Amino acid sequence: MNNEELLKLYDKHCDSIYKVALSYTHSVDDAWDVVQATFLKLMEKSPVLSEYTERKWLVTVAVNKCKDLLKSGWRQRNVELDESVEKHIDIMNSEEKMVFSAIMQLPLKYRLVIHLHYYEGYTFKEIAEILKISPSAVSMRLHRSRELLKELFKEEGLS
Amino acid sequence: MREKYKSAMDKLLVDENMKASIGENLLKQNDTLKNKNKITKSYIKIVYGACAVAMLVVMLVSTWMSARAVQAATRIMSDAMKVTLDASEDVIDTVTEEIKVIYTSLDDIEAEYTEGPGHSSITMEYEDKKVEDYIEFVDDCVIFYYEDVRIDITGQFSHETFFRYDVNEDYRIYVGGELDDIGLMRVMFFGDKGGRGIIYINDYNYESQPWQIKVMEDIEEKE
Repeated sequence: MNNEELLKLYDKHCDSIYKVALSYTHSVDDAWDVVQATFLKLMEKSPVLSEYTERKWLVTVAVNKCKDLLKSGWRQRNVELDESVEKHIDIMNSEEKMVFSAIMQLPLKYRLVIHLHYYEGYTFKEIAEILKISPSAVSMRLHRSRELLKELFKEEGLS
Repeated sequence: MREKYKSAMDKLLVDENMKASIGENLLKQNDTLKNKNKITKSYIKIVYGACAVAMLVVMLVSTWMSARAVQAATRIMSDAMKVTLDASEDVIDTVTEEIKVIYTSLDDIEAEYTEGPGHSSITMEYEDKKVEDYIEFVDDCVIFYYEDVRIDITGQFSHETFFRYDVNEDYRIYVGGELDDIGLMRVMFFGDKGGRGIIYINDYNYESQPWQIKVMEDIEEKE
Protein backbone atom coordinates (compact mmCIF):
# COMPACT_ATOMS: atom_id res chain seq x y z
CA MET A 1 0.00 0.00 0.00
CA ASN A 2 1.52 3.34 -0.96
CA ASN A 3 1.56 6.36 1.32
CA GLU A 4 -1.04 8.24 -0.70
CA GLU A 5 -3.59 5.42 -0.41
CA LEU A 6 -2.82 5.01 3.27
CA LEU A 7 -3.26 8.71 3.98
CA LYS A 8 -6.51 8.81 2.03
CA LEU A 9 -7.98 5.93 4.03
CA TYR A 10 -6.65 7.38 7.27
CA ASP A 11 -8.21 10.78 6.67
CA LYS A 12 -11.47 9.21 5.62
CA HIS A 13 -11.92 6.74 8.47
CA CYS A 14 -9.77 7.94 11.38
CA ASP A 15 -12.59 9.80 13.17
CA SER A 16 -15.01 6.93 12.83
CA ILE A 17 -12.51 4.35 14.13
CA TYR A 18 -11.54 6.69 16.96
CA LYS A 19 -15.15 7.03 18.08
CA VAL A 20 -15.81 3.28 17.93
CA ALA A 21 -12.67 2.73 20.03
CA LEU A 22 -13.59 5.51 22.44
CA SER A 23 -17.07 4.15 23.03
CA TYR A 24 -15.52 0.73 23.62
CA THR A 25 -12.52 1.62 25.78
CA HIS A 26 -13.77 4.80 27.48
CA SER A 27 -10.25 6.19 27.23
CA VAL A 28 -8.85 8.76 24.80
CA ASP A 29 -5.32 7.34 24.96
CA ASP A 30 -6.51 3.78 24.42
CA ALA A 31 -8.71 4.94 21.55
CA TRP A 32 -5.69 6.48 19.78
CA ASP A 33 -3.69 3.31 20.40
CA VAL A 34 -6.46 1.33 18.75
CA VAL A 35 -6.55 3.75 15.79
CA GLN A 36 -2.82 3.30 15.28
CA ALA A 37 -2.94 -0.48 15.67
CA THR A 38 -5.85 -0.71 13.23
CA PHE A 39 -4.06 1.18 10.48
CA LEU A 40 -0.83 -0.74 11.13
CA LYS A 41 -2.81 -3.91 10.53
CA LEU A 42 -4.12 -2.40 7.31
CA MET A 43 -0.55 -1.69 6.18
CA GLU A 44 0.63 -5.18 7.06
CA LYS A 45 -2.26 -7.03 5.46
CA SER A 46 -2.93 -4.66 2.53
CA PRO A 47 -6.29 -6.33 1.87
CA VAL A 48 -8.13 -5.72 -1.36
CA LEU A 49 -11.06 -3.59 -0.27
CA SER A 50 -13.79 -1.79 -2.13
CA GLU A 51 -15.12 1.58 -1.12
CA TYR A 52 -18.03 -0.23 0.53
CA THR A 53 -16.06 -2.80 2.47
CA GLU A 54 -13.09 -0.75 3.67
CA ARG A 55 -14.93 0.92 6.57
CA LYS A 56 -16.41 -2.36 7.77
CA TRP A 57 -13.00 -4.05 7.59
CA LEU A 58 -11.42 -1.26 9.62
CA VAL A 59 -14.23 -1.23 12.21
CA THR A 60 -13.96 -5.02 12.60
CA VAL A 61 -10.20 -4.78 13.15
CA ALA A 62 -10.70 -1.89 15.59
CA VAL A 63 -13.24 -3.87 17.62
CA ASN A 64 -10.82 -6.81 17.78
CA LYS A 65 -7.99 -4.52 18.84
CA CYS A 66 -10.23 -3.08 21.58
CA LYS A 67 -10.98 -6.60 22.78
CA ASP A 68 -7.25 -7.43 22.86
CA LEU A 69 -6.52 -4.22 24.74
CA LEU A 70 -9.13 -4.86 27.39
CA LYS A 71 -7.96 -8.45 27.73
CA SER A 72 -4.46 -7.37 28.74
CA GLY A 73 -3.81 -7.87 32.46
CA TRP A 74 -3.47 -4.31 33.64
CA ARG A 75 -6.65 -3.22 31.83
CA GLN A 76 -8.86 -5.92 33.26
CA ARG A 77 -10.91 -3.59 35.35
CA ASN A 78 -13.99 -1.58 34.74
CA VAL A 79 -12.73 1.65 33.27
CA GLU A 80 -14.74 4.76 34.01
CA LEU A 81 -15.17 7.35 31.31
CA ASP A 82 -11.86 9.15 30.85
CA GLU A 83 -11.65 12.70 32.25
CA SER A 84 -10.55 13.99 28.86
CA VAL A 85 -13.79 12.65 27.37
CA GLU A 86 -15.78 14.46 30.04
CA LYS A 87 -14.26 17.71 28.73
CA HIS A 88 -16.02 17.29 25.38
CA ILE A 89 -19.36 16.58 27.00
CA ASP A 90 -19.54 20.18 28.15
CA ILE A 91 -20.28 21.38 24.63
CA MET A 92 -23.32 19.10 24.31
CA ASN A 93 -26.78 20.35 25.18
CA SER A 94 -28.50 18.85 28.20
CA GLU A 95 -30.47 16.19 26.31
CA GLU A 96 -27.49 15.12 24.20
CA LYS A 97 -25.42 14.97 27.34
CA MET A 98 -28.00 12.78 29.07
CA VAL A 99 -28.31 10.39 26.13
CA PHE A 100 -24.55 10.18 25.70
CA SER A 101 -23.90 9.58 29.40
CA ALA A 102 -26.69 6.99 29.60
CA ILE A 103 -25.33 5.06 26.63
CA MET A 104 -21.80 5.22 28.03
CA GLN A 105 -23.11 3.73 31.28
CA LEU A 106 -24.42 0.65 29.48
CA PRO A 107 -22.47 -2.59 29.74
CA LEU A 108 -19.85 -2.90 27.01
CA LYS A 109 -21.70 -5.35 24.75
CA TYR A 110 -24.80 -3.17 24.72
CA ARG A 111 -23.14 0.18 24.15
CA LEU A 112 -21.08 -1.20 21.26
CA VAL A 113 -24.20 -2.45 19.48
CA ILE A 114 -25.94 0.88 20.11
CA HIS A 115 -22.94 2.79 18.76
CA LEU A 116 -22.61 0.67 15.63
CA HIS A 117 -26.32 0.82 14.91
CA TYR A 118 -27.20 4.38 15.91
CA TYR A 119 -24.03 6.23 15.01
CA GLU A 120 -22.34 4.15 12.32
CA GLY A 121 -25.67 3.14 10.82
CA TYR A 122 -24.86 -0.55 10.40
CA THR A 123 -27.67 -3.05 9.94
CA PHE A 124 -28.16 -6.00 12.30
CA LYS A 125 -26.57 -8.30 9.74
CA GLU A 126 -23.51 -6.09 9.37
CA ILE A 127 -23.10 -5.74 13.13
CA ALA A 128 -23.41 -9.51 13.45
CA GLU A 129 -20.57 -9.92 10.95
CA ILE A 130 -18.39 -7.36 12.73
CA LEU A 131 -18.94 -8.84 16.19
CA LYS A 132 -19.09 -12.43 14.96
CA ILE A 133 -22.44 -13.10 16.61
CA SER A 134 -25.83 -13.96 15.12
CA PRO A 135 -28.21 -11.24 13.84
CA SER A 136 -30.77 -12.38 16.40
CA ALA A 137 -28.21 -11.83 19.18
CA VAL A 138 -27.66 -8.31 17.84
CA SER A 139 -31.40 -7.70 17.86
CA MET A 140 -31.63 -9.04 21.42
CA ARG A 141 -28.76 -6.85 22.62
CA LEU A 142 -30.33 -3.81 21.03
CA HIS A 143 -33.67 -4.61 22.61
CA ARG A 144 -32.11 -5.06 26.05
CA SER A 145 -30.05 -1.91 25.76
CA ARG A 146 -33.19 0.05 24.89
CA GLU A 147 -34.91 -1.38 27.95
CA LEU A 148 -31.95 -0.39 30.11
CA LEU A 149 -31.88 3.08 28.59
CA LYS A 150 -35.60 3.50 29.24
CA GLU A 151 -35.00 2.81 32.91
CA LEU A 152 -32.05 5.17 33.03
CA PHE A 153 -34.04 7.95 31.31
CA LYS A 154 -36.93 7.40 33.66
CA GLU A 155 -34.58 7.92 36.58
CA GLU A 156 -33.26 11.09 34.94
CA GLY A 157 -36.77 12.30 34.10
CA LEU A 158 -36.27 12.22 30.32
CA SER A 159 -39.05 10.87 28.12
CA MET B 1 -32.68 9.06 20.82
CA ARG B 2 -30.77 8.06 17.71
CA GLU B 3 -30.52 11.70 16.57
CA LYS B 4 -29.48 12.92 20.01
CA TYR B 5 -26.77 10.25 20.30
CA LYS B 6 -25.59 11.07 16.78
CA SER B 7 -25.32 14.78 17.42
CA ALA B 8 -23.64 14.10 20.78
CA MET B 9 -21.03 11.87 19.11
CA ASP B 10 -20.51 14.46 16.38
CA LYS B 11 -19.66 16.96 19.08
CA LEU B 12 -16.97 14.68 20.49
CA LEU B 13 -13.96 16.45 19.06
CA VAL B 14 -11.06 14.53 17.63
CA ASP B 15 -7.69 15.93 18.66
CA GLU B 16 -6.29 17.09 15.32
CA ASN B 17 -2.71 17.28 16.59
CA MET B 18 -2.85 13.70 17.75
CA LYS B 19 -4.48 12.66 14.50
CA ALA B 20 -1.72 14.34 12.47
CA SER B 21 1.03 12.91 14.63
CA ILE B 22 -0.32 9.35 14.32
CA GLY B 23 -0.75 9.86 10.55
CA GLU B 24 2.88 10.94 10.27
CA ASN B 25 4.04 7.97 12.31
CA LEU B 26 2.01 5.59 10.15
CA LEU B 27 3.66 6.95 7.01
CA LYS B 28 7.11 6.35 8.51
CA GLN B 29 6.13 2.84 9.50
CA ASN B 30 4.73 2.23 6.03
CA ASP B 31 8.08 3.23 4.49
CA THR B 32 9.91 0.88 6.85
CA LEU B 33 7.50 -1.92 6.02
CA LYS B 34 7.96 -1.37 2.28
CA ASN B 35 11.75 -1.50 2.61
CA LYS B 36 11.50 -4.67 4.64
CA ASN B 37 9.26 -6.30 2.05
CA LYS B 38 11.60 -5.19 -0.70
CA ILE B 39 14.57 -6.88 0.96
CA THR B 40 12.57 -10.04 1.64
CA LYS B 41 11.42 -10.11 -1.97
CA SER B 42 14.99 -9.65 -3.22
CA TYR B 43 16.09 -12.51 -1.03
CA ILE B 44 13.31 -14.77 -2.29
CA LYS B 45 14.07 -13.84 -5.89
CA ILE B 46 17.74 -14.65 -5.42
CA VAL B 47 17.01 -18.00 -3.79
CA TYR B 48 14.47 -18.92 -6.46
CA GLY B 49 16.87 -17.73 -9.15
CA ALA B 50 19.66 -19.85 -7.76
CA CYS B 51 17.42 -22.89 -7.53
CA ALA B 52 16.10 -22.37 -11.04
CA VAL B 53 19.60 -22.09 -12.48
CA ALA B 54 20.70 -25.15 -10.56
CA MET B 55 17.70 -27.17 -11.73
CA LEU B 56 18.24 -26.07 -15.30
CA VAL B 57 21.85 -27.16 -15.11
CA VAL B 58 20.81 -30.53 -13.71
CA MET B 59 18.16 -31.01 -16.36
CA LEU B 60 20.44 -30.11 -19.24
CA VAL B 61 23.36 -32.05 -17.95
CA SER B 62 21.38 -35.13 -16.96
CA THR B 63 19.76 -35.22 -20.39
CA TRP B 64 23.09 -35.39 -22.08
CA MET B 65 24.98 -37.55 -19.72
CA SER B 66 24.98 -41.21 -18.93
CA ALA B 67 24.08 -42.62 -15.52
CA ARG B 68 27.69 -42.48 -14.45
CA ALA B 69 27.95 -38.93 -15.59
CA VAL B 70 25.02 -37.94 -13.36
CA GLN B 71 27.34 -38.21 -10.38
CA ALA B 72 29.60 -35.71 -11.98
CA ALA B 73 26.56 -33.57 -12.80
CA THR B 74 25.77 -33.31 -9.11
CA ARG B 75 29.17 -31.81 -8.55
CA ILE B 76 28.62 -29.43 -11.44
CA MET B 77 25.28 -28.44 -9.96
CA SER B 78 26.79 -27.57 -6.60
CA ASP B 79 29.47 -25.52 -8.35
CA ALA B 80 26.79 -23.75 -10.36
CA MET B 81 24.87 -22.97 -7.19
CA LYS B 82 27.98 -21.51 -5.63
CA VAL B 83 28.68 -19.38 -8.67
CA THR B 84 25.10 -18.13 -8.72
CA LEU B 85 25.12 -17.27 -5.05
CA ASP B 86 28.47 -15.54 -5.32
CA ALA B 87 27.09 -13.49 -8.18
CA SER B 88 23.93 -12.68 -6.28
CA GLU B 89 25.95 -11.43 -3.32
CA ASP B 90 27.52 -8.86 -5.60
CA VAL B 91 24.10 -7.80 -6.81
CA ILE B 92 22.78 -7.25 -3.33
CA ASP B 93 25.87 -5.52 -2.10
CA THR B 94 24.27 -2.15 -2.73
CA VAL B 95 21.24 -3.08 -0.65
CA THR B 96 23.71 -3.48 2.24
CA GLU B 97 24.54 -6.86 3.55
CA GLU B 98 21.24 -7.22 5.31
CA ILE B 99 20.62 -10.30 3.26
CA LYS B 100 22.78 -12.08 5.78
CA VAL B 101 20.80 -10.65 8.62
CA ILE B 102 17.33 -11.78 9.43
CA TYR B 103 14.82 -9.23 10.62
CA THR B 104 13.22 -10.24 13.81
CA SER B 105 11.09 -8.56 16.40
CA LEU B 106 11.30 -8.19 20.15
CA ASP B 107 8.78 -10.99 20.50
CA ASP B 108 11.26 -13.43 19.02
CA ILE B 109 13.86 -12.67 21.63
CA GLU B 110 13.66 -14.76 24.72
CA ALA B 111 16.78 -13.45 26.41
CA GLU B 112 16.20 -10.85 29.05
CA TYR B 113 18.32 -7.77 29.25
CA THR B 114 19.18 -5.45 32.05
CA GLU B 115 19.81 -1.75 32.09
CA GLY B 116 23.43 -0.69 31.80
CA PRO B 117 24.89 1.40 34.57
CA GLY B 118 25.27 4.64 32.65
CA HIS B 119 26.38 6.52 29.62
CA SER B 120 29.02 5.06 27.35
CA SER B 121 29.18 2.02 29.54
CA ILE B 122 28.89 -1.57 28.54
CA THR B 123 27.50 -4.42 30.56
CA MET B 124 27.77 -7.58 28.61
CA GLU B 125 29.04 -10.88 29.82
CA TYR B 126 29.51 -14.07 27.93
CA GLU B 127 31.22 -17.18 29.17
CA ASP B 128 32.64 -15.30 32.18
CA LYS B 129 34.28 -12.74 29.96
CA LYS B 130 33.46 -9.07 30.03
CA VAL B 131 32.10 -7.43 26.95
CA GLU B 132 35.32 -5.50 26.47
CA ASP B 133 36.64 -8.73 25.07
CA TYR B 134 33.98 -8.65 22.40
CA ILE B 135 33.01 -5.11 21.60
CA GLU B 136 34.84 -2.00 20.61
CA PHE B 137 33.13 1.31 20.05
CA VAL B 138 34.71 3.68 17.55
CA ASP B 139 32.94 6.86 16.44
CA ASP B 140 29.67 5.82 14.79
CA CYS B 141 30.64 2.21 14.54
CA VAL B 142 30.17 -0.64 16.97
CA ILE B 143 32.59 -3.44 16.36
CA PHE B 144 31.68 -6.83 17.69
CA TYR B 145 34.36 -9.47 17.88
CA TYR B 146 33.62 -13.11 18.21
CA GLU B 147 36.39 -15.64 17.87
CA ASP B 148 37.94 -14.79 14.53
CA VAL B 149 34.93 -12.91 13.19
CA ARG B 150 34.66 -9.15 13.31
CA ILE B 151 31.28 -7.49 12.78
CA ASP B 152 31.08 -3.77 12.15
CA ILE B 153 27.69 -2.28 12.90
CA THR B 154 26.85 1.21 11.73
CA GLY B 155 23.77 3.15 10.81
CA GLN B 156 20.33 3.88 12.10
CA PHE B 157 19.03 1.91 14.99
CA SER B 158 15.41 1.36 14.35
CA HIS B 159 13.07 1.45 17.32
CA GLU B 160 12.11 -2.02 18.45
CA THR B 161 13.58 -3.63 15.39
CA PHE B 162 16.20 -6.20 16.06
CA PHE B 163 18.46 -8.00 13.70
CA ARG B 164 19.65 -11.49 14.16
CA TYR B 165 23.08 -12.43 13.00
CA ASP B 166 24.17 -16.02 13.02
CA VAL B 167 27.77 -15.83 14.08
CA ASN B 168 28.08 -19.55 13.63
CA GLU B 169 25.95 -22.65 14.16
CA ASP B 170 26.19 -22.36 17.91
CA TYR B 171 26.06 -18.66 18.54
CA ARG B 172 23.73 -15.92 17.40
CA ILE B 173 23.52 -12.32 18.40
CA TYR B 174 20.59 -10.00 18.24
CA VAL B 175 21.31 -6.35 17.76
CA GLY B 176 18.86 -3.53 18.12
CA GLY B 177 18.59 -0.06 19.41
CA GLU B 178 16.25 2.58 20.62
CA LEU B 179 16.23 6.13 21.84
CA ASP B 180 15.59 6.30 25.54
CA ASP B 181 13.50 8.89 27.37
CA ILE B 182 16.21 11.51 27.42
CA GLY B 183 17.25 11.01 23.81
CA LEU B 184 20.25 8.79 24.32
CA MET B 185 20.71 6.07 21.78
CA ARG B 186 20.82 2.70 23.40
CA VAL B 187 22.21 -0.23 21.45
CA MET B 188 21.40 -3.64 22.76
CA PHE B 189 23.04 -6.95 22.14
CA PHE B 190 21.72 -10.34 23.04
CA GLY B 191 23.64 -13.52 22.61
CA ASP B 192 21.32 -16.47 22.59
CA LYS B 193 23.59 -18.29 25.01
CA GLY B 194 23.17 -15.77 27.74
CA GLY B 195 25.37 -12.92 26.62
CA ARG B 196 23.65 -9.60 26.80
CA GLY B 197 24.58 -5.99 26.90
CA ILE B 198 23.66 -2.40 26.38
CA ILE B 199 25.80 0.41 25.09
CA TYR B 200 24.74 3.98 25.57
CA ILE B 201 25.82 6.35 22.86
CA ASN B 202 25.85 10.02 23.72
CA ASP B 203 26.25 11.63 20.33
CA TYR B 204 24.94 9.03 17.99
CA ASN B 205 23.90 10.28 14.58
CA TYR B 206 20.35 9.02 14.53
CA GLU B 207 19.65 10.33 11.05
CA SER B 208 22.47 8.40 9.43
CA GLN B 209 22.12 5.63 6.91
CA PRO B 210 20.08 2.46 7.43
CA TRP B 211 21.58 -0.49 9.18
CA GLN B 212 24.72 -1.99 7.88
CA ILE B 213 26.27 -4.99 9.43
CA LYS B 214 29.55 -5.88 7.86
CA VAL B 215 31.08 -9.18 8.61
CA MET B 216 34.83 -9.26 8.32
CA GLU B 217 36.07 -12.75 8.82
CA ASP B 218 39.58 -13.92 9.61
CA ILE B 219 40.81 -10.75 11.24
CA GLU B 220 44.08 -12.33 12.07
CA GLU B 221 44.72 -13.09 8.44
CA LYS B 222 43.81 -9.52 7.47
CA GLU B 223 46.03 -8.12 10.17
